[in-house]
Amino acid sequence: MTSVMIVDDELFIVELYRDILQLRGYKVLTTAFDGEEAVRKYRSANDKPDIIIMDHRMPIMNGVEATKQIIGMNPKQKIVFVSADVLIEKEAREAGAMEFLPKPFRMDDLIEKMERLST
Amino acid sequence: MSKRDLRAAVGTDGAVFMDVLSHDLLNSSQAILSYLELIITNPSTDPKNRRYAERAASQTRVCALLLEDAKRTMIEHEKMTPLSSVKLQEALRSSKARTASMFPGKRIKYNVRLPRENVWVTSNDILESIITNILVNLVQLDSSDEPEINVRIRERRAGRMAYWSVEFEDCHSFMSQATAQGLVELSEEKNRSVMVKTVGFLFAKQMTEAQGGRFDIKRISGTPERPCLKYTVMLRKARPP
Repeated sequence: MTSVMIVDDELFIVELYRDILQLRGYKVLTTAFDGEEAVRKYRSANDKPDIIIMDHRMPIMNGVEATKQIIGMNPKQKIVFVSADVLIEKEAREAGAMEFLPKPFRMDDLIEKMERLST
Repeated sequence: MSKRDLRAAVGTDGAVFMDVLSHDLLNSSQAILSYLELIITNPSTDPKNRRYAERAASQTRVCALLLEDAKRTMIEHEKMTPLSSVKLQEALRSSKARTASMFPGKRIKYNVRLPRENVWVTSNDILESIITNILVNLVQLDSSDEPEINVRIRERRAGRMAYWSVEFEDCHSFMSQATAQGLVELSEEKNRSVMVKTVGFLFAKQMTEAQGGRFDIKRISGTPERPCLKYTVMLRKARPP
């Protein structure tokens, strides 16, 4: 079962991803509400997630910075970057995100990208 | 604070407010769309309710597009994105795909006439938004489940400038003669009253002109009940990058 870490500062978005990903057979390993929490939880986790879903605009540390730090710890970590800021795509990919989805997206598109990354 | 300073402050605050507003509304749209998708894909949803949910999802996607337009307009007002060579067919392909994803219940048919394989224009990533706004509005104005849009790309000249134009011909939209005339006047800047799809067409016009191009809407023919209109985006020719 593919494991996932969800990083987003909006509780209703985290709940949304968790509801739908669990319905689709994914294991939601952990969640974080800002980039710093994500980096901290990732560093201390014995069981690393297969895929991280990363938002951009969050308090304390944004998604691009968190992506850079996580990729710094593990260059092979798969990160799907999701954001309402279309213009951030280039920066997110340069930071190490393998996929980018502009909000609002279809959950099928997210699942398709995650399936591609898990194979 | 002088009037000029006040205007600058309001302008900046307005841009910041629009930025955070659109961000929060796009997040909310994400949640609405995703839960609607759950209803649509649930096998126990009856066909009538599925159709209602599909329509709600399409309109939420249109709201998201208009929000993006507003946000983009503010960004471009502050600092224009640099122009480069953009492949017109690629922008058209992306816009068609996005429009199709916004209306999964409709089968949109395009009749595209192209003069050559590669057409390059002076633009940037806004071109896809310009074309998407036009296509989305045409699909929304057509009550059919199988809208048909004629697209023609051709070379044009205006004075010493060489352009490529993309023309969208539509004779199926549900609009009155007065509304059709209003849209023509909108493109000629004679009328800015609120009528069907003003925002989307206004966005297309403003962004096209910001790129040194031209946008117009012309009446071509049609019956009294169904006027035919041609929406034209003209952009300066560019060399392949």
